Amino acid sequence: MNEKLKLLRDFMLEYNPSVPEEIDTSMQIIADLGFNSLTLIELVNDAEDRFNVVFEDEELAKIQTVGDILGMLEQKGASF
Amino acid sequence: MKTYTNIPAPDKKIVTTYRELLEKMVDSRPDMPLISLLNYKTNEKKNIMPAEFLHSVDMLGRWFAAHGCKRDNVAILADNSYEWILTMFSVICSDNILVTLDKGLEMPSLEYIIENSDSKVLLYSAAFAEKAKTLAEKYGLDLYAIEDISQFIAQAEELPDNGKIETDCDAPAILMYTSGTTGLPKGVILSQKNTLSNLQYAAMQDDYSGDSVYLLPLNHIYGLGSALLITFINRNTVTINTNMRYMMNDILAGKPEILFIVPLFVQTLYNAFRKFLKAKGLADKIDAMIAENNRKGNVTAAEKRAMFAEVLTFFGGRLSRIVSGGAPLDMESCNGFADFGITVLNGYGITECSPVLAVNPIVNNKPESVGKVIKSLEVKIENPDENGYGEICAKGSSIMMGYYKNDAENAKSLIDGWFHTGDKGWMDDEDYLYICGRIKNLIILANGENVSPEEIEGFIYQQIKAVAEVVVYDKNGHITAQIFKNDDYIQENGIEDAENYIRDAISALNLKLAIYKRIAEVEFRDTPFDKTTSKKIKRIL
Repeated sequence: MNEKLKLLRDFMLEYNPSVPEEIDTSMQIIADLGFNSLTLIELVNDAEDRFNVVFEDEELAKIQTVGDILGMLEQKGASF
Repeated sequence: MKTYTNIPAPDKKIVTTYRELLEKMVDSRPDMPLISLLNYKTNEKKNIMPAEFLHSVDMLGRWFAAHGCKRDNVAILADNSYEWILTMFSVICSDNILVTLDKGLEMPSLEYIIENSDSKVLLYSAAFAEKAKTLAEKYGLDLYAIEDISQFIAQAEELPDNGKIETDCDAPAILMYTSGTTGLPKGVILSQKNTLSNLQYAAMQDDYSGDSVYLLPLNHIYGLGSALLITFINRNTVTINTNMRYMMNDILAGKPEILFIVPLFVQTLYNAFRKFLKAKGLADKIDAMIAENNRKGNVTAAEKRAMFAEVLTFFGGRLSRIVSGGAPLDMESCNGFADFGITVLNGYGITECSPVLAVNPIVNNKPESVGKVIKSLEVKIENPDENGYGEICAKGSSIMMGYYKNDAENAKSLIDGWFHTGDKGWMDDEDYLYICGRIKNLIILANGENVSPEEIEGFIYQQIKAVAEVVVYDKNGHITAQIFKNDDYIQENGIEDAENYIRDAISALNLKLAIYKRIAEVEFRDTPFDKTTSKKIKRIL
């Protein structure tokens, strides 16, 4: 697991204690990591402050996998 | 233990049509906003007054009539919005039938519902434009964007006034699809009187009045009925959340006195509140105060709210009651809210009962129960076992008219006027109901969604031929598929790592399913499932 993925995993853990030790970009946030629609929204909202980025409302609907959120963070120049 | 109760309806006039309800709002509370909407960009609030709302309902109804809609089934596939509520009232008040579509549904289910419901018209919001167009082309629907409603109203204002449209309170008014145990959704037919009588009697159970914030999807009966209409019935203002991302903004702006939500929200709001206390460095101090209150044992809810008033501004500062329904209540968050003087009232409803069957009163709240059976309903526990546990059955003015075009299900569910809920429960001597299981095979998720395991199994059989047998079940709140592999298919197709192949196929299938139906866990078994004599899989794992 690379450093950014590890940081994202630690951040996710604050919202859902069942996030496994090892995650990969293909994992689905709801189906595989056990988030629900509300904790996912909370995660994305708080990720704006934590990583200093802005997610548009339309982007939220596109987030399904760990790779989706990681990709968006990288694309937005997130401060990891 | 009781097995039957019949709590008579109070001798009080109730309204039986949606227009009558609105007229009453206009007369009794002309200057109090009916609906409030927050602009998430500017943080400005827009209030809709009763007379303005009734005028828009009439105009949109006139527009529907001018477009030839009369006793037509009008479907709606849209995000929560003011226009959604306006459409609902207008369709019903113009003597048409509203078909509510779950926006999370995958295309095959939407197609089934549109076809089965005989819908003629489809209203959609921008996010569903593509799906709506596909449906309209396939089923020849008249298609309208909900965002254009203000234009329709303006057009209607230019049309001749043909007077008020009369409606029959006992005729079908809403067609709402619910998960069926056979895998196919069932259309529940509700009249205006069904829903309105149910909610007015439910509102008389105790004081559920107060301004509210609407957080549930509008296509759900619990949200639509309880959270929206009860607030109207109680003559309060409801702030409508139109984007879950801004739930807390709506709560802060709407300053709710009462919330009607599902257990998932109760839990999420409580967790968010605890996180807020921790972030403010107040958690230890507050926990000590709570421990002291518990030691004293006689601190009232009002005193607790006063004591914690500063931090309770997290919920707008006025919240005193939360009604929870749709799924089993999480007792930790229920007790957690009680520590702050916020009473969580567990309730129980089902679409077919329009929806409330029981709800807890504020005084003598028994959170482990789903509350007291509401007035006007007869409830019995059928075939109770030695513990008094049996199927909960209900009879009364709020029981559905039947399932749409589904005689087989009607014959099974409605027997001598008694609706068989499929839920197993018992009743105490004070008419409180307790749920202790299900007779029908449905998975009830914490967000109140009902998932039919057979429907998901159907998708797996259709799309993953490497699966010979599958049973989908609820494993600690996660939808889990237990699979017996199809070795013949696997060998014939040279599949090397069959379990990975199936897991990948399940992941691909998940992307096509509504989020709440997605399979979270896959298990494999070495032997086929046990079967009944008719070769059906025994579902007990």
